[in-house]
Amino acid sequence: MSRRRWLALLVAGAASALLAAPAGAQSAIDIMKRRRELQRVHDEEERQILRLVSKSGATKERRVTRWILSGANDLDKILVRFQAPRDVENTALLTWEGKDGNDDQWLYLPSVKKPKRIAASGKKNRFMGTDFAYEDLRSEALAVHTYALVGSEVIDGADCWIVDAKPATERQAADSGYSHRKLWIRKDGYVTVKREFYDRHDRLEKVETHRKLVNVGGTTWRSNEVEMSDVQNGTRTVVIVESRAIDRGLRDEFFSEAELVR
Amino acid sequence: MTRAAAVGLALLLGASVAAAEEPLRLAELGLKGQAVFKSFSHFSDAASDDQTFVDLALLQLEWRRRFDHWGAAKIIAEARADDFGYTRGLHFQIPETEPRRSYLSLKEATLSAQRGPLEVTVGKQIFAWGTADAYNPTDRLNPYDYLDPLDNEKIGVWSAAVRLSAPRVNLVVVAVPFFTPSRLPLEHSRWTPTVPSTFVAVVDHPERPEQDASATQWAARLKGTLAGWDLSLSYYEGFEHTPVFRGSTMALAPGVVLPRLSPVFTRERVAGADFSTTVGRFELHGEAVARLVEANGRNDRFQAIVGFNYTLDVNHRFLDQMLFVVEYARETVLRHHHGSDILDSDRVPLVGARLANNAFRDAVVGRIQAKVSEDTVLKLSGIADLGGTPSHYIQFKAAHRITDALHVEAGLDFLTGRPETFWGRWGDNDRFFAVVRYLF
Repeated sequence: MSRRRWLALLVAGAASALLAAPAGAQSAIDIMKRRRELQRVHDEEERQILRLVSKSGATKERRVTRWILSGANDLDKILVRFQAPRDVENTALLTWEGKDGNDDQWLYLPSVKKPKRIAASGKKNRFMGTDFAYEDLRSEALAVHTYALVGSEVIDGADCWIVDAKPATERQAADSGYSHRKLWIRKDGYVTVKREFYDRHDRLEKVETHRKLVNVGGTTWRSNEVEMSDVQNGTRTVVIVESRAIDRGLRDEFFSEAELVR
Repeated sequence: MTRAAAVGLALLLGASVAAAEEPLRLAELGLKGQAVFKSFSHFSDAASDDQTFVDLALLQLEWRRRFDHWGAAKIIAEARADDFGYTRGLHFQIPETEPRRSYLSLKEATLSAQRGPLEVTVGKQIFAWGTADAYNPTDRLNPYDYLDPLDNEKIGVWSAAVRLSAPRVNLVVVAVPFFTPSRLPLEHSRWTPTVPSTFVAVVDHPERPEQDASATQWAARLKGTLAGWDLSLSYYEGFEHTPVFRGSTMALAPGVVLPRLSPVFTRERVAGADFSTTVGRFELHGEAVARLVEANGRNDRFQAIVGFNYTLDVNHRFLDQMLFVVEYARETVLRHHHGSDILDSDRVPLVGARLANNAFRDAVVGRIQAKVSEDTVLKLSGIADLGGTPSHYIQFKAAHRITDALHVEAGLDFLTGRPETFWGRWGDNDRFFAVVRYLF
């Protein structure tokens, strides 16, 4: 190889290294913090269809409305109300996330006509027969995980960081059903497009794929379709977002018993 | 109505619902509902009733509408039929005092208006207060339909309720202008206890309170959430909905005097409190009331119930989750009203607890629930009345969701104890039951 060619390669390599530096120099926790900064909103309302697909391919549908109010320290208030089918219609779950996983949680069953405080269902338990565990539906709790950047991969044409998340506290390790998770985060917009969940024996348990990304204002992106596949059981749940409202000014009062029992 | 007619009505209801799905969908009219068929098969005749099979059909239609920014309306109407006589005639009463159900009735009908944290609801309402599972001593506003005491349900009351809400606290004040008694087992029913032939007495018709301002009942509940605890204070001023017996004598002829029992309703003031919290996988709860007699009562009483729920995640292929509920209920007399002519209902000579209206004077309650899958649940529940000679009620139930719209339940009820005990008085009423429910 000629000297000039070596020089050209050296210059090209240096240039590409310089261009990649602003992103590549970030640590995993920096990426996670930046992601949170760009994607977090004050409040959010989503009408969703949950399509539960069994191993044999049989499907069931649930319709829910989900309201979220972002709080300090990643502690949100969440109200989920079932709209269909009829047998669970108006069943509602109100969660006030608490420090160290000490959530306040109330379940309203229309047949009982009163809200009942429930012991926060094991975070690893599945939510209403879906493939989502309760912990999968929570905001990413940065304070109780350690993050490591383990690579990059192109997904659907978009370059993504692969971040590995592990429980950082004994309490989190005990409460979680996962030994670790891998998150694929797009470098161009800090949007999570894929997650892999590994069980306590370090075997791949579930894969979550985000599709139909839409910009919902400013730097904030959401996916209009999410599929969670349980690769061990062969079941999957597809969440289709029918409508969404961001930052419409939901107040703390909305996340109360009065709204839960309505 | 014959059993065949009740079954026929149930089939007709189901067929009409199915037919209504196409081309006209009831949901498009804002109507939803359910068709329910229940069948009870008793294992033996009872002294007062030799009908061992009882079938019931229910069609419930529900209409709800939310009005943007200011309120909501709800109507739940019912059509019923059965082959025992629980239901007879068409009657619309305010308040409901008929001893039987009407073929057509309104279960609930409410109109709510909301402005900021204040909400006012008027109409026929059902309230549910308290934190315990088995029974709620703080929950005093609604009477019950006890035509079948094991398959009881609340009766709505015409009332006005004002609710003031904040994120961590809410206050509800309710006024009920009319008194509605609980519906008691019919005279010829197997649920009306027979008394020994050696016990002879004249029993009057119930003396209900006058339907004027003096019959008004009201209640308030202040509930708050603090550091992981739900805490409530409540107050009720009104009537007990099941009667007690005023004892007197009646001279039928010179030298012939019989005991006379007059059912009357106790007017009382009830101050209560309840709590609920969680510790790990345990949910702990309790409630207590002081029931102070104003009229037609024998004793001021303290009633309390405490217990826990514990959920165990099994996550096995054939067993998803187990739920355990254990509660203990206790009643203590705070003060005797000397000179009261009200009988101590479970201590009438020869009768024992056959006339008692409280199963929770000294009782242990338990429930084990096995969630086999999202669609199948098995339950074993029991109440042991330990006051005096023990008696028990045990129920085994299996519930399965065939589809989201079609649910079935089946189970067994067992009642044990001596005839003069609370549950033992219904010792001939062990039975099998089955319920089919179609939701639309």
